Amino acid sequence: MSRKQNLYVGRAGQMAVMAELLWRGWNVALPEVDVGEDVFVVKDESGELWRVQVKTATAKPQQTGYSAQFKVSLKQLETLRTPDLVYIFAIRGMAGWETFIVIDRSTLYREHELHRIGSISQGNLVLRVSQDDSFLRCSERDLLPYKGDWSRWPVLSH
Amino acid sequence: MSPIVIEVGKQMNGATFRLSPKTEVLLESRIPDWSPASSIFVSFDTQWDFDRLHGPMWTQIAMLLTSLSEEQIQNLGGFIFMSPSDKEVVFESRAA
Repeated sequence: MSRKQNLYVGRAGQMAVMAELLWRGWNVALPEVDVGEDVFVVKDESGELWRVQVKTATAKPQQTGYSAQFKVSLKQLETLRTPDLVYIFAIRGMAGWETFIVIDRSTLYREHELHRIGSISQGNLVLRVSQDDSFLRCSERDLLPYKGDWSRWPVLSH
Repeated sequence: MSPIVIEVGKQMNGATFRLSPKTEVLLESRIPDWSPASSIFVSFDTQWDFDRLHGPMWTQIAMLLTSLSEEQIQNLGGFIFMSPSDKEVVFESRAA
């Protein structure tokens, strides 16, 4: 995929995540300069803030199901901040968005430290995710608990 | 005995502290029904650095994160505060 195409795909994932959050009743904002997070999620009434990094990949069909590959900066993964970062891995199929994997930075870091999830290449953690009807995993680690886990942003009625 | 490892993340207005994943696993295995705070943020109103944290504060942060007494922490080997990205140790208190 060309660099230009990557920009389009990445932006589409970011917009899809923002659309889902808005639909759920949460306000979103984009940083003017991209320095580590793609979306800020804000609870209007309380000012609570989440920092979200969206990673987007196009699904590659496999014999059963599909796979998708993501790159996460190791430095970002290892950096503690308050508020902490939430990663959303968006997988796009031909017919629409297949899956959103929503996982805290600290949880992904723990998976990396304890279970060696992914592989390291040039300062990045490379995650190859595969999914079919019965599983969603990376490096034999089960990611199903994080599939579509929007629970930290429950649907709000205004 | 390997000490408790607390990871730190410094930012302009303070720092975030969290047990390392390996320390979490160690304490989960040793302490039944252990449910610690997941992280602690110490906030300062002005720009700061780690040298503004004094001795007792490091111990108090370790106690809050582990839910253990100072004596229990020392019995486990003490603690170190470390930056996870560059492995720099910013403070340590090892058991004698």
